[in-house]
Amino acid sequence: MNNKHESAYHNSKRQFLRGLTAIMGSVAISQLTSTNALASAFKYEAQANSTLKNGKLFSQLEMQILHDICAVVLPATDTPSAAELDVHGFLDHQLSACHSQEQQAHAKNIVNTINQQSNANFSQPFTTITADQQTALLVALESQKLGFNLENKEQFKELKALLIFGYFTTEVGATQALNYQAVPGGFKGSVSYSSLKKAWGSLAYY
Amino acid sequence: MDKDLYINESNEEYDALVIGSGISGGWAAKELCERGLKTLMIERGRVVEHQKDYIDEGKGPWEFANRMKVDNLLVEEQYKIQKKCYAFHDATKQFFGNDKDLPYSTEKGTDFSWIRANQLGGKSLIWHRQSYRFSDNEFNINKADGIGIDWPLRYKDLEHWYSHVEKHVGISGNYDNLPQLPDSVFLPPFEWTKPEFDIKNKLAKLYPQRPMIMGRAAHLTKPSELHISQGRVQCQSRNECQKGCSFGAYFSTQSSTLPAAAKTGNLHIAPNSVVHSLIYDEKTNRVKGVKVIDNDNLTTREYFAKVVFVCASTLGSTQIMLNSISKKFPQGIANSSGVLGHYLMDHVYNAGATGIVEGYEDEYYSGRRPTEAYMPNFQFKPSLYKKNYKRGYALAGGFGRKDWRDARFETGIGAAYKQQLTQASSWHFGLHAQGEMLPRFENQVSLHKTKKDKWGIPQLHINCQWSDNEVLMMEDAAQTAKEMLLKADLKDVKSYTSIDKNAPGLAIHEVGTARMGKDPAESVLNAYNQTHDIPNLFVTDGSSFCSSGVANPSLTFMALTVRAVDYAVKEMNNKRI
Repeated sequence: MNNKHESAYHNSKRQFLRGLTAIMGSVAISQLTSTNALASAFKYEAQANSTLKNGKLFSQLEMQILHDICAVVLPATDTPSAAELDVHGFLDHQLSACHSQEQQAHAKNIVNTINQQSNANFSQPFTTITADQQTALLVALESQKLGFNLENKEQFKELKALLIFGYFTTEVGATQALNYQAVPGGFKGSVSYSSLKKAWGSLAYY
Repeated sequence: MDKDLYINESNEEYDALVIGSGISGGWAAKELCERGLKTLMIERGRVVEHQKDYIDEGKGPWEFANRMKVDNLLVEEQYKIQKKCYAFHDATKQFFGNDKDLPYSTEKGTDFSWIRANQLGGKSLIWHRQSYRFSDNEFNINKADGIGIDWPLRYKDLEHWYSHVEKHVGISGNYDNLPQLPDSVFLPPFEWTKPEFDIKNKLAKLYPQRPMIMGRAAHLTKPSELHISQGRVQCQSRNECQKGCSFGAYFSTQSSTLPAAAKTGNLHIAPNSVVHSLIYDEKTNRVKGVKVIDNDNLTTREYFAKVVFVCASTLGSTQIMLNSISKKFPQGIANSSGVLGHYLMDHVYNAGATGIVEGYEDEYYSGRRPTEAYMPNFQFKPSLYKKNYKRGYALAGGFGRKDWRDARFETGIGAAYKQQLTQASSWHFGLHAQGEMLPRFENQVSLHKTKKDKWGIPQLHINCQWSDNEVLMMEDAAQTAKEMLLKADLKDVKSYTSIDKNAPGLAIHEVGTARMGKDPAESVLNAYNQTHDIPNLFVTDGSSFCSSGVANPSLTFMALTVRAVDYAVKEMNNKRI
């Protein structure tokens, strides 16, 4: 983890609590920040073993393919990869909980199509080809080459958009890969972008 | 909050009953209590306590079960209609009504999206906080073009009351001195971003009759002593208002009117009390009280008072009145005119244009501004109308820099793409129409003949449609917005209309079903929101409107309410009520 960004986040959360305490005095601050018991019971939590078992929507094999897709689309840089943040586990949860059966079918189909085209082009499943080959295959998918068609491209676009949503709505994605303001303290209409270097991750609506 | 505030059974005769606790009900209760009247506020939903019950405030998206999206099954079961509201998500759903428990029907071939907020505070917790006075153009418009009946009051009648509420509420805005949009008593406006400021100035040169201003919103940009004494502090620009705000930085019943009312010692609140009907005494021609069904256990109880203020939202108030049947009023209480339920209006928010602003790469903003740019209606009198339709619209600005939410749909795989996703990219700006809807007799709500809800109250049956006027207005608004953006040098400008996809209701500005008027034969209320038929019955929410106007209505709900209270109390003191 990148400590600089992590401390920036904790600062902003502390700032929220400190600000509230200073301003509100006697208010029970814990009540503002405690997790709703019901929601937390069903809440998606990142897991280390998502690829070791069947998911809600995806089979174990599909989870492994999805893991590698996450690792290749958003690889580790100065921030963790999507696979390290269990975005594949998030995708399995989110598609089951919030998306239509049609979208679920699209996601399953494209994951399996990627594996089939890996076998067709590299004579190996997607999970055993090199990272460079995986990247080349997904780049080909987005440009309808190596046997991928327009329908495949559209289905991958849907899945990738949700993958990226999953990444930037994790705590790490929102607060380290992006700049986070829990309590901005007011609105300034003009600040220098070069001093920030990154977009805001604290958006009112996702 | 004081436990003694809440009551259940009571035989006491109160001085006043207020039905509803939203923007209008909160103001009615505050003003009645401050004038010394023992007041009972009746709320159909649960208690929501300021701060304590804002359970999702201050949480990041990763702290929600589905990253702020709402579970499919839950939506399907409980929120099929509410989900259409822009502010509905996992962190706000507790402040929206449960569609399963709140059924209504619509006439075949029509649709209406009724957004509900049945809890203490009502929609004041989840409103968009835009606050504008109506001008005389608005009050005069029906008379000027002959559609609908004339409003029985003018701007000068409300001016003092607008000021009265604004000082308490706290409205951020700039003194713009526009004839079509009177200034309020303001706190400082929110800041412009540089691209918006330049667009505003370009448009001012190109279209001097179409000024663009900073949206006026009920946020404490610089709280006064009065606001601080209410326990409210400066807006932190989180723009997560609909989760509830412990800073009390935007106006809600909880942050503003309720504490003031409670402070007098004259307020009691009956929560979980679904008003079934008003109890009418034919001998005295007065409303004696209300019949209530318990929200939870469905038992019946009654509350009594000398005067009754119905502030249950436009459709809520109308439903109660239609269901209050007596020998004298077989079609609903105070409905001798027969217009109760007719002339339903909303605003039409179904057109606009967006584009890209080139340059400004090093310009950014800090914080999330809870308001937008605003171009007031520039067709505010008949001489300014377009040829093929009547009346006009305002345009609300949308702005920002594009980010990963846009770039995630672009092609890219790997580290360079990941880096690109973390960056703010081009600026975008848009203008989105907020149009007037004409008052039409055919747009009507009535009680369903057979269907009832779980409290045994007849369901509302809604028959409401856009007319050609609204369709033509949206077509023009899309073209006009596009033309202005192109002339202001925006690129990749695209316009849209969505009136064929969205039924009325989603502006959540429903008004008009118990309208005011000079003539008791064609209106329900007089100029003081008092029913023509029954002196001690007042209706002060949006149902009283004669036209939808173009400006957002909430500030006018407040001003009408406090004026009505002032009048009612004087009438009571003079023994005419």
